[in-house]
Amino acid sequence: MTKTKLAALGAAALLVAASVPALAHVTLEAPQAAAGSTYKAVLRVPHGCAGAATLKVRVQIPEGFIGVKPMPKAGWNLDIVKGKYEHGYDLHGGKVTEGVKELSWTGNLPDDYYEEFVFRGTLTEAFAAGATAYFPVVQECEGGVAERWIEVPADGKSADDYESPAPGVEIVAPAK
Amino acid sequence: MLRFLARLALVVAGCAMLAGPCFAHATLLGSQPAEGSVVATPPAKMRLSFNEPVTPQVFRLFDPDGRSADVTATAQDNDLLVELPAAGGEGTYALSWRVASADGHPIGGTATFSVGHASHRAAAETARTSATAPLIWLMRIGVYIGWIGGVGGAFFLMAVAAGRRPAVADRAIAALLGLGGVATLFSFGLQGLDELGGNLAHLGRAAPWLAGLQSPYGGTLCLGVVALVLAALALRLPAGKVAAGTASAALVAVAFALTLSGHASTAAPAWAARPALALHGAAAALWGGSLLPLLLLVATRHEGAGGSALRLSALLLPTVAVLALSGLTLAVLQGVTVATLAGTDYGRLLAGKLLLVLAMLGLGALNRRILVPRLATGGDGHFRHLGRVLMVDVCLLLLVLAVVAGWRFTPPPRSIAAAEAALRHRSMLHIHTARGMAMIEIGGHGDLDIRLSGADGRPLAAQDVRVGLANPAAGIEPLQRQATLVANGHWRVDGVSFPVGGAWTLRLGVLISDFDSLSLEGTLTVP
Repeated sequence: MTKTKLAALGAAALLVAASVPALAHVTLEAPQAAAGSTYKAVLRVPHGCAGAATLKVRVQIPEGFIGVKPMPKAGWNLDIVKGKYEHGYDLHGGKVTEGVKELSWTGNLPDDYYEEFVFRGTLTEAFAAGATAYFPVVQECEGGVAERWIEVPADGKSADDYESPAPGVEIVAPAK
Repeated sequence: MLRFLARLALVVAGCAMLAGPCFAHATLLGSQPAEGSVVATPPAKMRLSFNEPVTPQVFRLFDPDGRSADVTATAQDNDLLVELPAAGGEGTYALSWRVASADGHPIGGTATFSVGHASHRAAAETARTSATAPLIWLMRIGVYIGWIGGVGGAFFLMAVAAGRRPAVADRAIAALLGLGGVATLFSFGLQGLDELGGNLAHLGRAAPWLAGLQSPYGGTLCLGVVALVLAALALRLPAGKVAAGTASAALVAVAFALTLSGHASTAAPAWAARPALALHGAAAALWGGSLLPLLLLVATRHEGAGGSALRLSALLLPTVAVLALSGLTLAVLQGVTVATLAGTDYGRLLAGKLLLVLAMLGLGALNRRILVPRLATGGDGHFRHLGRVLMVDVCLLLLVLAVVAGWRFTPPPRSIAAAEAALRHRSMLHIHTARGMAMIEIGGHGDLDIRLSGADGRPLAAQDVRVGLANPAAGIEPLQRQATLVANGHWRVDGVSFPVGGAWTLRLGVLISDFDSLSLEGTLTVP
């Protein structure tokens, strides 16, 4: 095996590892997306609240993520909260000023199971390259307990510095 | 080959680092005895229940006195059983635990329970000093009697009365010196005991005595012993210049001894406080020490009584002036004002002392103006009058010494003000961030008073506030507490039993709305 091949292998391994963030947390499957593109968000829920089954998953849609549509899920009731956006956005030639602000799935997910929740939308150019769009998630469980994945890192800190970071997607420059 | 190995190591390390936390972390579900509960008898074991099997790592038990001991834990399914040491008094215990989750990720926390009753650090400390306080006070009076009555008395006999004295005066002064010596000896141990903590039974050990010897007050006592020995020596020497010189040296030693410890010696500026204290002590010893020997001269109708009384009378006016001036200087340096004279314990003791001294001064003036001049002319009645007045004087002096010894337990107003300011500063924590601010104050029983405000300065409305308190230096994992709402933006945590004092890392998790939280972190100094 040549040095170059080895280095490439190492880099690949690092990349694979990097794309698998802490599974103990609620995370988004695709960690990066371009501004102005359609983004399919796959929320991964690895466990319940300290052993208690998950009864509800709520996700807050960040300002600038528009045209949101959740994917229906067998066994789960979907609720959509709509409201006014802070700003107006151009979408397919039209002006959008309101839309989905919050999504929630109600069902039952025992602690031993893993589940994914899917929705799609457009990341507008309001997101600058290098920024992160955060999707705070509240996981409500049996016994009235909740896990809140809502911590947004302060300046100079990263999600790793927090116990319950909000899932996020890093915005990259659109492909020319 | 080397480079290959290095790269491989890098790759493996990188993967391990990034892929490390790949499973759920374990969570503590509960403990037995339950968190914050009070049990009647010390439990032999503590049970920590987790949501998944965990690997025990570090377990440390803190007893109510803040002493810690490493303890062992054994895993049993999802639980850990922690063996607790058998002996233990009443109060609050804290078990700091650290375990590894199935994914290898370490998690930690601190579980607390109380035996008999909950205890708090501040309360425990005040209880400790009160047991030895009366003895410390009595011993200090004894030391002062040795210095003022004994050393001052020897000075009067050898330097002022020029060695012309009845034998009973020698015996009396020697007895006072002996009393001072015994009191000094016990003071070493009691001082050490007060500093180390513990009850009187601990006097059987060497530690308190050594600690007392090494303390600043130990230095004062050592020099005091030198003064007592010099004074005893002066009494043995034939009357003359050598004896007078030795007695004077003893007086000087007392003056210096006073400057080595105590709050008056530490008042700023030291160049004013220490000489003032030394002069005050020397003058007090001169005046106070003369009373008993003079009384004995008068009572025995000694031939030298009249002459000695006259010589003393001439000495006393400058002595009283020095006493008053140095006393005034010290009072000012100690931050005494008209308000603190009545408003603080220190001030009340000073006021009491001043009243007693004024009474003594009145009697002194009576002696000087009327009784002593008559004494020179002879007559038994005059002796009797002067004797009675001196008797009252000696009693007043004893009271003054008792009052002065009481200062050992009362900080002067300047220290009270400084301590209050320091306490306010230390036990109050401000955390500022761009989004909000928290002001956390620690109360007397470990209560935390939390005030939250937003970036606009208005009270910050929150749904939930959690407090995590850890002391990394002492090896204490976070104690988690839920704050209760008092009013908008005002939260409270009751009675946190801090196992030890020092710097604690405080982390506030403020839930503002369902999806919005604020994390604030700072360092709180626990007294």
